[in-house]
Amino acid sequence: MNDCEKYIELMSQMLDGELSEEQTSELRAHIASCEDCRKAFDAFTSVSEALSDELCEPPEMLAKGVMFKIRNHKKHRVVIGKFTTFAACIALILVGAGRLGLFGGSTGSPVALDAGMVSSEARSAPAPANKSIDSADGAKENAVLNHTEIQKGVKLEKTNDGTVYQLGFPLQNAELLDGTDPDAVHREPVWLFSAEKLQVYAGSWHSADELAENSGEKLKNDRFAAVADRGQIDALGELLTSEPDDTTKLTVDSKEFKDSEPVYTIYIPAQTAASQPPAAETKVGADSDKDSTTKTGSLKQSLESVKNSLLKNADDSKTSASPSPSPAAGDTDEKRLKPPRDMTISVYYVNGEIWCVAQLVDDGRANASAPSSETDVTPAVDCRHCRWSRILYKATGSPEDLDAFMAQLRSAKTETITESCTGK
Amino acid sequence: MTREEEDRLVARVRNGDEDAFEKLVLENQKKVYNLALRMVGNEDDAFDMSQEAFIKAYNSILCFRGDCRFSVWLYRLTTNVCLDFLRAQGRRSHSSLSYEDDSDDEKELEIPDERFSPETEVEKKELREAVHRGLMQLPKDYRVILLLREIDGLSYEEIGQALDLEEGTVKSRIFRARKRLCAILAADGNISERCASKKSRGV
Repeated sequence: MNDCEKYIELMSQMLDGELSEEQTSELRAHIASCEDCRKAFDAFTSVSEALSDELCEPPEMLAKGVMFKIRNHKKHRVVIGKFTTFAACIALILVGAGRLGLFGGSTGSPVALDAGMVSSEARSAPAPANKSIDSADGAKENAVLNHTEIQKGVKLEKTNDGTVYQLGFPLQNAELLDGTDPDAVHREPVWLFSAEKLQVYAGSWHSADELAENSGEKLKNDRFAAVADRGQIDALGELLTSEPDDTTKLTVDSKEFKDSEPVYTIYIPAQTAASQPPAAETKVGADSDKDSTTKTGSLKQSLESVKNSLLKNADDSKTSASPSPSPAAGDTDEKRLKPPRDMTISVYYVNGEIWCVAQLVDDGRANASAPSSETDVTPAVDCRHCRWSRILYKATGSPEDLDAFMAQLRSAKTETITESCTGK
Repeated sequence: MTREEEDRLVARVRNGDEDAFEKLVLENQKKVYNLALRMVGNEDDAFDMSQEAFIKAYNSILCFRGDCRFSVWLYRLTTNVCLDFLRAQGRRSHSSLSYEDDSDDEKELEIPDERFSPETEVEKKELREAVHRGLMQLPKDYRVILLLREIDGLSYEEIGQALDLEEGTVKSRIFRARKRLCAILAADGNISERCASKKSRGV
């Protein structure tokens, strides 16, 4: 590197205010005496100014939209706490069921099927981002749903009932949660929040059958933690809860998931009386947060009544093949929706994001790819139990945070992990 | 906004105060938006990226450890969101593949003639547009680092925090980014090129 080259590198630092006064004056003296370096300096300065001057004003809707989403989302997440998913389900089902006439005494099946088709059709034919107006028209056509199919990039729309939706968040969650769209690949792992205990494995989890079949290949399950603490399960839930994502081209069959090992696998044992969860090896933070159930007691009660009425309506169309979740009946001490079947959540890192494949552990009953027509028109409550066998979704947390959480899970046997991540 | 003010607002957000987050959004939106705009190159996507970055910040604020300024952390989220988006876009710009090829950077700087120092407003506008076009041709990592410096005004130390880089790497990468940008501008004919280094060789 000749002298000029060295000075030119210093110029970059001078522009950035990273040179000492002494270095700056030396450089300035050189620039004054060297024509080429002066030109280089002018070039750097001009480019720097061109980059930094006249920053564009952000659209007014940016901050408003962000805050709208946050406030809207928070109603579910924070107020309802760990009942996030369940409560949102119920709320959405209530709205949906009301619209679809499920409370009218009929099973509502044909209507539900129609609504599902409209919804999935709208999703599978995304409008170009700049044709936001189409969404409003779509709302009129899909009046049965009474909400706008908002495409990515839409700044703001008003629906016919005057509600303002921003960028489809509420709607996406509707589909995430109520299962009206059988083709939707992104849904929330409703059981994660309601699980009472979890097993955490490094890499994949293999069923006993797989292990037996592949005994020559050194397959093994590397379980490093069993979690039974409410706070920890919630903290993990916060990291692995779904983030609406309509931009991705990933599907559950993408090579990112099919051909790769997951980083972690969370095993959520079923909590029906019929199936026994695998025994936990290590209890981490065994003091379960019993108080948390009382905080939301009245809310739970009101949700319970909604749920009961929904289940009542759903009863007629339950298929014998579906596992009986019976979350309400006879469930006196714990009113959370419980995992009716064992399931796993395989955690992958893709492009710095967490992607999860939630999968029901195959017990010969799951057949989501070819649901019977009977199943297809089952009202939403049942959909959430039996419609899918594998779903893909993008999680809210970052790989770094999850790794940090897992590292603590690995090491901390007694201290509660929730403190570091919940800040409470 | 000072770091103390930022920290106070972050603490309030952690306690569930949405208005405090709104203040942080309003304070940072211009830089976040412009960073995103220059990363992805169009307003619609920049809007989406900015929004996603803020939502992400809000959702993961409990995991923000406070070892750097909130704004630095926010810009980090923004760049990650943008980079992921650009990757998902299927590498629409050839620049994403060119980062490995650093051979250009080893060349000496092509120093342009005086036209690089625009005098009139029109010239400035032309240069600004040319620079923004050139920016889109830069390898993404160069683009990010230059923008964090020029748009968001981060120090080398803060850029190091945001991108997990050593300060020395930040310094040399910013320099290379500037050099490469000048080379692109020269090659595109936006500035007349003259390799003054030939003259300076042997000095």
